[in-house]
Amino acid sequence: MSQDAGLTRSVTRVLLVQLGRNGGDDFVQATAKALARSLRDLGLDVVYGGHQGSPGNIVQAAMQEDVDVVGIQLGSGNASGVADETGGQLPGIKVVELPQGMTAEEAVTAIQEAGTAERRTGKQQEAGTAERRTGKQQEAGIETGGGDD
Amino acid sequence: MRRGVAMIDDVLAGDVRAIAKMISRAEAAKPDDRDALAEVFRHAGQAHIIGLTGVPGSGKSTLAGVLGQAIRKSGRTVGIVAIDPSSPFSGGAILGDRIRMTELTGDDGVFIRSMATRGAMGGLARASLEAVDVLDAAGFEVILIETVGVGQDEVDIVQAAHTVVVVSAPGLGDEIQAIKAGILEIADIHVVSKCDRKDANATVSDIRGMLTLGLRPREHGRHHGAEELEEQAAPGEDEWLIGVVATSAETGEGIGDLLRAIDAHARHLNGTGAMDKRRRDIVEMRVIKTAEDIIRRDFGAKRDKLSRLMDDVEARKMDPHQAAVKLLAAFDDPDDKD
Repeated sequence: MSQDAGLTRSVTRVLLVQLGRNGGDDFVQATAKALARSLRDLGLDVVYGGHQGSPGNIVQAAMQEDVDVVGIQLGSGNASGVADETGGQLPGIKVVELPQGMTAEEAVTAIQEAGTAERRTGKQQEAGTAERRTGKQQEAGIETGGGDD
Repeated sequence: MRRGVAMIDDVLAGDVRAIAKMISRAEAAKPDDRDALAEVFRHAGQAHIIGLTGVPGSGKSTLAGVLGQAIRKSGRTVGIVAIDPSSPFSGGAILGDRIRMTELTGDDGVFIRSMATRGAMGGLARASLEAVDVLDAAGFEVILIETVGVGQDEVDIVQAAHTVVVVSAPGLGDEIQAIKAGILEIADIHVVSKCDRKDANATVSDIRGMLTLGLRPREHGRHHGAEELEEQAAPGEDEWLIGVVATSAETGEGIGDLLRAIDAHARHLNGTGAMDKRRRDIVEMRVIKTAEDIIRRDFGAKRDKLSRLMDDVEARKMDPHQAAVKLLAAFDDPDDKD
C-alpha cells in the first residue's frame, strides 16, 4: 500500500496499559513493549499508556484517545473484574484483561478478536476502506441514522 | 445526512467524548464530516499554540508533560497533540508519548491525544491541526503540539504553531544533523533538556554559539540569553530575542523560565502584530496542504488516465513534467468525486 493511500485509512486503535502491584516492573514492561510492537506490525495503532495507577485513569485515557479496544495487563495479585469496571464507563469500547501468564501470542489474539468484534466488519484493511466505527457506533447507540446525537 | 453537527455543542461545552470523536472524524476525513469540522474551525482561534520539536531522543514528550503541569499551575487549561510515526511497512504505530505525561492524568483541565503520521511527512500528521482546532474550540487555552522526532527537512511545525520551541539534549552529538535539518533556525525559543547532566552546559554553549554566528532567526529577530526574554515583550518592541533555556524534568529546573519565555513570546506576537502574520502563515500552509491531500486522494480515481500517461512517459514520448501537467489538468473539480 502506498503511503498516500494510508493518510486517511481507518486503523484499529488500542490503548495498552498495565495495572497492579508489579505492573511497572521490568518484566511486565518488557512484555508490554513486545506486545505493542506485535500489534503495530499487524497494522494497529497502539497508544502505549504504561503503568496506570487506577481504573479511572484508564477510563480517561481511553475516552480521550477514542480507542476501539483497551488491553489491560494485570500484575500479580490483581483480581479480575477491572474490565467490567472500566468497560461499564466506556460504551462502545471493548476492554480485555490480559492476566499474568498469558503469552504474548494469546494477548495479540485476544486484542485482535476484540477489535474485530468491535468493528463487526471482519478483516480490516483488505479494501483499505473498512468502516471501523460502524459497529461501535451502533452498539453505543449514537450517530446512526445521521446526526441524531 | 450530515453527521455530527449536533455534536458541536458538546465539543464547545468541553465534553470529553465529543471532543475525542470529533478528532477521530478529522483523522478519518470522510466527506460527511466536513460541515462539522468547518463549524469547529469557526469556533477555534483563541488558544495559544505551541510547537515542540527536536530530534528523536531530545526529550520532547517529557518536556511536554512537565510544561503541561506548569501551564496548569498557572491556572490555564492545556491540550496536547502528540504525534508519532506510523510504520511504513504495516501502517500501524506505537504512540508512546502518553507514558511520559502520567502526572497529567486524572486532571480534567488536560486533554491528551496521540496521533500517528500515517505516511504524512513534515513531522505532523495530516489531521494534526484539525485536532488542534477541536481542542481550541473546546476551550483549551494553551495547546502543545509535539511533533515526531524530526530528521531533515521536517519543519512543518514552523507553519503550524504560534511559538516554536526546539528541544535539544546534551550528548546526542546531533548538532550537525540539527543544522542540516534546519531545525535550529525555526526556533523562537531553544530548550536544552536534561540539564541536570554535566555535559548540558556544552550544548547550551553550542547553541548560543550558533545563534551568535549568524544563524538566521525568524522574522529578523536577534538572540539572547533567557534572562532577557521577559523584559522585551513591551508592545512596540519589534524584535524577538531568541533565547536558550536549560531545563530538567528531573529537578524541575528551568520549566518556569520556559513558560515565562513562552508567555513573553505570546505577548511579543500580540504586541507587534507579528501574530497576524503567523496566523496568516498557518492558514496558508493549511489550505495548500489540504489541496495537495485532495489531489493525492483523487489520484486513485484517475488510475486509467495515470496509466495511459505512464505508457507515454515510459516510451519517452513525454517527460514526467509534461505528464504531471496533463494529470493535474484532469482535476478540474476534485470535490466532484465525493
